[in-house]
Amino acid sequence: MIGIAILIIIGGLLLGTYIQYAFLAAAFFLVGTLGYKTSFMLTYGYSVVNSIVLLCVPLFIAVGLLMNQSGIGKSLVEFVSIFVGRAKCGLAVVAVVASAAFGSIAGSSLATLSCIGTIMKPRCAEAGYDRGFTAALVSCACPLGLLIPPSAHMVLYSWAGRQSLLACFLATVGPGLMLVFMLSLCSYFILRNNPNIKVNEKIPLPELLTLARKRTGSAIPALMMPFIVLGGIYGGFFTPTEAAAVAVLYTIPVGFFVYKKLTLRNLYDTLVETAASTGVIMVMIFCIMILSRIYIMEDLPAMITEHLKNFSDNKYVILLCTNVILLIIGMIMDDTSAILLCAPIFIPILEEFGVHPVHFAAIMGVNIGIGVLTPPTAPSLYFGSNVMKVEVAEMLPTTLKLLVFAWLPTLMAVTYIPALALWLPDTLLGGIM
Amino acid sequence: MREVKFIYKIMDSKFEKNLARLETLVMVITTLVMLTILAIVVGMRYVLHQDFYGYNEIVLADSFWMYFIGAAFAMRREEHIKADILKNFISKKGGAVMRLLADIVQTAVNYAMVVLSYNLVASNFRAWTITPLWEIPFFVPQISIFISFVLMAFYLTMYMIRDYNDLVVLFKGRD
Amino acid sequence: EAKTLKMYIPNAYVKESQQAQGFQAAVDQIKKDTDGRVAIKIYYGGQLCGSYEDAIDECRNGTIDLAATWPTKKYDKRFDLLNLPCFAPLGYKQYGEIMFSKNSIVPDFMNKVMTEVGVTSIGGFPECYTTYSFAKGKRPKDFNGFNKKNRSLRVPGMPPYRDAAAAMGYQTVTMDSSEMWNAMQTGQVDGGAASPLEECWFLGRDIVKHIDYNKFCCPPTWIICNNELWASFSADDQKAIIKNFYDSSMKVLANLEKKEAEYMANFKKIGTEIHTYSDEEIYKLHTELRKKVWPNYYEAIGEEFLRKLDKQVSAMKP
Ligand code: NA
Ligand code: NA
Repeated sequence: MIGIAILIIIGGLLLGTYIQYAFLAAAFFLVGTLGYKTSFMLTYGYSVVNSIVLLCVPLFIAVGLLMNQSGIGKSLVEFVSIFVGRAKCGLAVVAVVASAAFGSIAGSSLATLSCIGTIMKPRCAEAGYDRGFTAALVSCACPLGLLIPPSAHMVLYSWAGRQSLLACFLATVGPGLMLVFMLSLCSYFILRNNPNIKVNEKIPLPELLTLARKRTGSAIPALMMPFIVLGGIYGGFFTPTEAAAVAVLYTIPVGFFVYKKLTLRNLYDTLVETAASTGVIMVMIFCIMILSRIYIMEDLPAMITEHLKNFSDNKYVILLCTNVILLIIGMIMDDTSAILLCAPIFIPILEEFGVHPVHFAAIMGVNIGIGVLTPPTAPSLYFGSNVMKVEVAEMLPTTLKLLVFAWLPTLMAVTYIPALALWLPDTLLGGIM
Repeated sequence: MREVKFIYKIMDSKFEKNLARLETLVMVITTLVMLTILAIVVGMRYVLHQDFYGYNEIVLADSFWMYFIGAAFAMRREEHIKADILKNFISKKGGAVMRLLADIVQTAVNYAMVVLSYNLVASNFRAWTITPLWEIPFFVPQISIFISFVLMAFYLTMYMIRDYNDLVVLFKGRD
Repeated sequence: EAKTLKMYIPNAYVKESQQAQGFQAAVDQIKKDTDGRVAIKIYYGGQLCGSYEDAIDECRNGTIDLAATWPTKKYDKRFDLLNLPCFAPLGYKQYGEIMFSKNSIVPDFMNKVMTEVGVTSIGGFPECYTTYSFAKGKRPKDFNGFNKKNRSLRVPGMPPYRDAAAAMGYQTVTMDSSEMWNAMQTGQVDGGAASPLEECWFLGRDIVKHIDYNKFCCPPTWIICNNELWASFSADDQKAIIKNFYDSSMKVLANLEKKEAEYMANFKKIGTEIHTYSDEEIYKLHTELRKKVWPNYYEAIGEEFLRKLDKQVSAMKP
């Protein structure tokens, strides 16, 4: 039965229905064949979505959109380029680091992509970068927005898997930083022999200092944001939900009065956009959780665990299998559904084999990052092509290189070196390792 | 096979425009209310050293209206997420047939959800279930779910007929 | 062979908890006593419902067959009874007398309300005393008094908990239970109300440094069954179900004190302060708190009933 239900989901996705309906169709099939009453479906959906923690989702979306409107992103990029302006792959590193910096404020990877992508596109073109390369690099760097906290994806993981959100946020920092390094390194190797790339003229030191001071000054309101959000959360001032709300409320006056880019008109549009994007995610959550409830009533995790145990009882083999499954799921499903479906099913399975759920948070985070880049379902890739006005085919070669030489090593590292994920949460929060 | 022309009249009607306006109004107000309440919670705690007791009940009731009217609005703009895996591998006509099939499946499922969400509202109305502190009846946020599925049914049906028309035009072109 | 019945138990009851094990023992014995006619599978850790509040609804509709859950005001205002503070100052023996004994007015009252709500009441199941727990250095100067305005305490979003904490003089902060330990860890609140020692140990032992063991509350879960399902059992099977859950609840109850002493010892070992009261002290404290809090619930639960219950509680003297 569960097998047929999975076929229904895949069939629905292949047919091109909106994702929630594919899941609902499977749920209706199971409810019908297993003889459940339908009344629990909406009661359950309602009560799982009725959660204060989930308010983070619209708030993080709003922060990302407002930052785009308010010019905060631009000043961040200017600030980062002070440090790496003159190297041959300098602009590439700027794009990667700026994505990480933007990610430390924004809660979503697509917000990171549209902001950093729009800003980097003309600059990279001017410096002689290949368009396909730029688009691919920015698309591959944008999942840093979901690895560097705060992140709506980790909110969903911790919520669906009933784990500490503070710990999950911290678990993806290690792999996030590693990825910053790996992406920069790969860019260096790809670009080092490219003769077309112009390097900035050398600026005399006094001028450079003035420039640095100016840029730093204008970046301060933007740089304050991670302090407000993360400092607020870990310093004990706000819950994550409140911190996200404070971030939204901070961005509005900064956009109006400091960067002077925000207007009442685009504030109104941003609020509409926020509610619409949130609505899309929430309806998906609502429907996917109904199906996942049925899976739990049918004891799917226990069934999978049994099969896996027959296959192997070695933790590392199981982790490898998990990663393969997640990579396949990442190709077929979008990021939100993948997290919501996998967290409640895989956490109990992996715990059985001695994998800490917070460690799995980081593994899941990196997998989701890969998933948004791997076709056929590759939201970041398509969104990147849309934002950067470049054909996906032009982006594919670089995307593939970055996936194989930056993303996959990061995935292996986070899987087999638990400390990469767990050291930070354990040091700051204690009681994990 | 004939096109169903009046659907374009509906899609272009004043009713549809006003509906969209109403939806955006609800979305903006509920989002602002959410932000305001959270700001008050934080403010009360740090400035007045007081607890906004039971704020979660209000903010969650509000958020359901934001989520679900937002979802309906996104359906109007066809912004919900789909996988679209085969899109690039299939002929134009094949694609049109598939789209219509997908339309039929999702519209049918959505109508089932209209019924279920009506039952949810009705049963909570009959039992008059309430939240612990403010005693907000549960059906108040839940009506938004019902309205949302009704609106989505409307948009899905509309687009299904539009896609049917496209299909008709496409196949007529062959003759 | 009979179909396996699905039973809900709340989030906090993970597989290792005393309650979960108590339910499991009851269910195993029921299967034996009914020759396999009544086979129940327990879903640990709140897996079956979105929230424990839904358990009554789902049980009534038959999506789940049985549930042990905390009944709340959502379905009937009278359910607040179980959340009222201070009905058993003198320990688990008194708790058993008040909540489960045939001499008490509580079980009949609960059965009546459950019937009106539309499910079959099987009986109560004991919860441990909940405590107030505080992060390092955040305890109030004095646990005994009534003025603790300078200390913030997370309370669940249910009025009786707030009323009790407010009556003791705390600045209350409502937040979701999922946010509580994080908030204590980061210092956003000084302490949290309503966690049993066991939960403090499993979820908060790195955070909690002071515990006020004030026995202010211990809401039992209530075991319920779908009406039609219940009617389909033979009279003997019904008896076996009620008896086994009751026996198991008494066993768990008898064990609670011992288990709690273990957790106290564990906490002392890692240097956590646990403030306990003498019987005379706590009798006085609870009498005072009942006087302050219970009248707020006269209207919802019934003045006469609550006065009677108050008498029943105070009749047992230290
Ligand atoms: Na982020
Ligand atoms: Na993918």
